[in-house]
Amino acid sequence: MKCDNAKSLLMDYLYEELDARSRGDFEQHLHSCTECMAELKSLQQTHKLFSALPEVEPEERLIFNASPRKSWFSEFRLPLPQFSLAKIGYAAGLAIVVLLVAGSLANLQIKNDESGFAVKMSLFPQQTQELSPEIQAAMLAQLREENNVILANYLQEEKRRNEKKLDVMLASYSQQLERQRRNDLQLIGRGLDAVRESQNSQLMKYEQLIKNVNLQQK
Amino acid sequence: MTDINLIEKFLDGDVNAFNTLVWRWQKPIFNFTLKYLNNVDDAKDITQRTFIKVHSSLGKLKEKEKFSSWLYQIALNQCRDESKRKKNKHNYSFEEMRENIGFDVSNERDDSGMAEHNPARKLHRNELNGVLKSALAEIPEEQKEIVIMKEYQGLKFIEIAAILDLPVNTVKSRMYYGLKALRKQLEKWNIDKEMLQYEM
Repeated sequence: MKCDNAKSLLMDYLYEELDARSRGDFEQHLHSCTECMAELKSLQQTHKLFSALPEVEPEERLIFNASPRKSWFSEFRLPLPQFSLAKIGYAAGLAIVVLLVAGSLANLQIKNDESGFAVKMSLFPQQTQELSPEIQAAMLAQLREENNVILANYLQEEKRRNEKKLDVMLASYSQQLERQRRNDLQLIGRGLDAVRESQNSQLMKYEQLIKNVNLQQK
Repeated sequence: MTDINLIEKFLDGDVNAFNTLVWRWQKPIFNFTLKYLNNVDDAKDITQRTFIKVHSSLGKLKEKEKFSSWLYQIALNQCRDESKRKKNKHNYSFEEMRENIGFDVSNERDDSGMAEHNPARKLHRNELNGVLKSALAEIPEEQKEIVIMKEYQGLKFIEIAAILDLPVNTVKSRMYYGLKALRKQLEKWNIDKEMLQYEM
């Protein structure tokens, strides 16, 4: 074995991934090649040094509670046919069902006559018949009557509201007048009291004066 | 029960089957993301995101026997995105490497058990772990991914090739150059052979 071949086996030998025969050949070469032997020793030292780094225990264990997530499509596709021809039939059937359901909702009209094949759909029902003049007149009269009733009710309600408003205003005005009257009476009362007090005081002064005059005459 | 059985049960609506899958794969994926991102919080976050993605997309996996490769692909893509996002924020510095040496390893398990009985050796081992993680962060991403998958996940070259969608020889070649780059990085930081051989 040559050095180039031996070097290509270095890693396999170091990590014991060589078969017995290749291992024998490699070891035979090592005995006769100091260069390869030195390189192997150097690699072995590094390998031994780094492989001794300790393993670490994770502090916590991970625990999952949720079951595998299944998409709605994966649930739905279970009853689907597996063969391509059956799949096409299944899809066509499904398309017809969808068309019929949508058609029933959207007033689908399919016509196939001398003028040709036609498909028509609209979201709102179509008004196909016109009303007769009698029905129109009756509807108009009914509408007018209803309008009159609504208007009369509205006027009556408005009148009632105004009357109520007036009552409230009158009551408020009367309360105000009553307050005013009480205030005036209180003022008059206080004025009379003041006059009475002043007269009493004047009289007492006169009496005192008369007493003094009598005393002087005596 | 195989992964395939669990996947089929889950797809039939059994959420416990999915939790069994998570229980089986959480530790390898967490360690993979931790070695890749060199940050416990980021690794937790990415591991969680990976399994959420698996939960929502497992129904789309056509070849159930390739579940583990698919799982690593998801984790790897998440790590690449996160790494890109982080790189845009700031570049890894030598100072951060120094900080890494003091990285809390309280929840790390030493498989040899020897370090437990020798405090000096334990301290030395912890410091060395920090240096090794920093060295891993320094080598090119394309080599780092393979080194992590090979050294820590114990995947075969052919499995790594399937995950990365690369020829097996390209994977071996990147592994070879990855180991060389790691050695070179340690030498660059003057981590001498004596220190390394103390551990070997």
